Amino acid sequence: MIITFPHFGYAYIAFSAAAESIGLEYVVPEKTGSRDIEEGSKLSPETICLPFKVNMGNILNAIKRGADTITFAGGVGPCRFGYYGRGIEAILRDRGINVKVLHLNQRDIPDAYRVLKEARCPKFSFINFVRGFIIMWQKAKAISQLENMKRKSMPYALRRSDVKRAFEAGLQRIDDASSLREVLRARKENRKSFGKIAKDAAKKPLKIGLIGEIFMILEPHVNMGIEDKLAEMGAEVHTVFSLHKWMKYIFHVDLFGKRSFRNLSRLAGPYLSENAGGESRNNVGSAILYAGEGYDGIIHMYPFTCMPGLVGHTVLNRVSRDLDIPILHFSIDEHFSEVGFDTRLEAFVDMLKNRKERQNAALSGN
Amino acid sequence: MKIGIPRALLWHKYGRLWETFISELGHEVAISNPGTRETFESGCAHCLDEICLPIKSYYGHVLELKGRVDAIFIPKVISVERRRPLKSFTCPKIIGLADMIKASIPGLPEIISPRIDVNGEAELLSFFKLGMRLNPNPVRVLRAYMKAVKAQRDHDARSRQSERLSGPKIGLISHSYNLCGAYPTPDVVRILRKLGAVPVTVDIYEREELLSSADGQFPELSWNYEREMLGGALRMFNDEDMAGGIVISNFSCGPDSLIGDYITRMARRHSSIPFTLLTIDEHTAEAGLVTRIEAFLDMIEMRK
Repeated sequence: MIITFPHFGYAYIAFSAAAESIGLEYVVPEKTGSRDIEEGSKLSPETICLPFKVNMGNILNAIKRGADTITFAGGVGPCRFGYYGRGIEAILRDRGINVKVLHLNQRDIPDAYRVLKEARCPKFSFINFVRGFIIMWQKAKAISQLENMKRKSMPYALRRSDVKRAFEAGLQRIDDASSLREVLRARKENRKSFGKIAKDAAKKPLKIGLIGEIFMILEPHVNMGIEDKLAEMGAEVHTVFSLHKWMKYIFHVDLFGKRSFRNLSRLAGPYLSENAGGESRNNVGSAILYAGEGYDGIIHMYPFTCMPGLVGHTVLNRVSRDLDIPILHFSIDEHFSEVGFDTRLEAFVDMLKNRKERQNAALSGN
Repeated sequence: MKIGIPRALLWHKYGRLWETFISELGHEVAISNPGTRETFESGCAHCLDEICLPIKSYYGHVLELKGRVDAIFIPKVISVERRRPLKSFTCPKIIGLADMIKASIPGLPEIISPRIDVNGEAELLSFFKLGMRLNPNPVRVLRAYMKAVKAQRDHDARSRQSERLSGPKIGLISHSYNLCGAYPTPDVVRILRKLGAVPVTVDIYEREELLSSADGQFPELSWNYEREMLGGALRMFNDEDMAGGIVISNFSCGPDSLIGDYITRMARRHSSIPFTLLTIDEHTAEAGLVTRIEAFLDMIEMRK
């Protein structure tokens, strides 16, 4: 049995560590590329959301490389994501591709334990399951920390290539770590290597909040490298979403701090009183938070026809008007053009720069 | 107080219940006028262009009511089926509808949006809370609820009586609001009748039977209406009375994009009758739809 899992940002590092610790053989699909999106879209239902098509492409790629079992960590909520596993299973069967799908419920650890136990992995035991979970958690934390350090350093670094290099080396370090101790050491070293990067602390970059569907935010090929693009334009990006944050949210331990999902939902209350699935409430909450913290603008990204995304978009239009903060929305599918994306992004950043200058001039004029 | 109810979306399923309940509590009820091109287009101007047809149409009905009523009734229907400890939902857009309307239409009158979450709280309790806000007399509220439930049940029974037409029976699998035939939704029921077929919906089967067959095939599925659709389709696969099945879906409908496709896949594998999927949106021309349905019926005729 050789398992695989679709890409979700850099989560493959954490997932493969978990698979290793319970003795599963695994294949990581090649890094998501345009080819995966094209192949995945061919087989997928026409109007399903982009993450499904991308996952489909990843899985097809992994099957070509020898995978025969797919693990899918769905949840059950009002959004389509929870049913991806079944949908992909039905499509692959119709194509005559015989693979097994292990449906792991994100929120139900005992159920995941049962499914994995029934799959008869050679090294499977309760101890190894717990160990796998802990190392996955710690690696997710290390990855999320690394991503945040990159976001913070990019606009201030004298040479952006230093940051990119430190980031790549950091990922490799986390991937290479094979025990809990090594993961903790990798985290420490990553902090050190980012500390060494030459920075210009006097820079005053634009501050932009990135919100939207979590897959779109964390998967650099699918979001067309928006973070790097904004950094090139001299903006500092912040997002509340990360792999580790998501895990914390699923296991109900993301309770404290103003950026916790619990607090964001509370903030969103007056605009969106119900959980409309996915990240809708967290997005509205973050937008309100960013407006209060004096951010210059917000970018909202979601897959075309995403239900929570559309509810969020509608409500965010009101937030933008009420709190006077510009929000740029991107609804993305497989036909989206990167050139058009760049143009819109540039125009938005230019507008924010002008707006900031005007505000500053008004302040100093008085 | 004059309370308006938009004649769209879930009104087609629960309209009599809501109407009777509110009017029994001593309020005047105003249902928005049947949809027209003007109201629909005014609705489109206020909502996102990639949202689904029923929501766009709902916006139009709200705008039509605005200005001539004191309050608009937009319930937050989160779930309509008790499945605890399992989850149960309608659809994210229905859940967020009241907040979306409030966010995008300025100058609205008061919005009455009771929370109806049958999976979390008994329907009676939700209606009792709403009733006490409208008329603080508990006896009258309970009586109104009972009358309302009866009115809805009578209405459903009446609409279920088929007209005993002869012709091939075609199963329609879709949401109530896609089969209502009210503008801007194309009237598939009328088209089928005109072409000599007898349209039937999944309501002809026992609800429990439908839901249990859906559970057997797709245990995680927690969208209430999709469960009925999937169960209905699975039941139709082996129904010798049926000549064919049509799944009607809206462009950009989230749940249907997955379940509509899933049903047609299952049909190819297990069904003894032909199935087809029609996707509709505001650009659907009736002539094109008629051609496709005609071709489907011809194909059924030729199979005999």
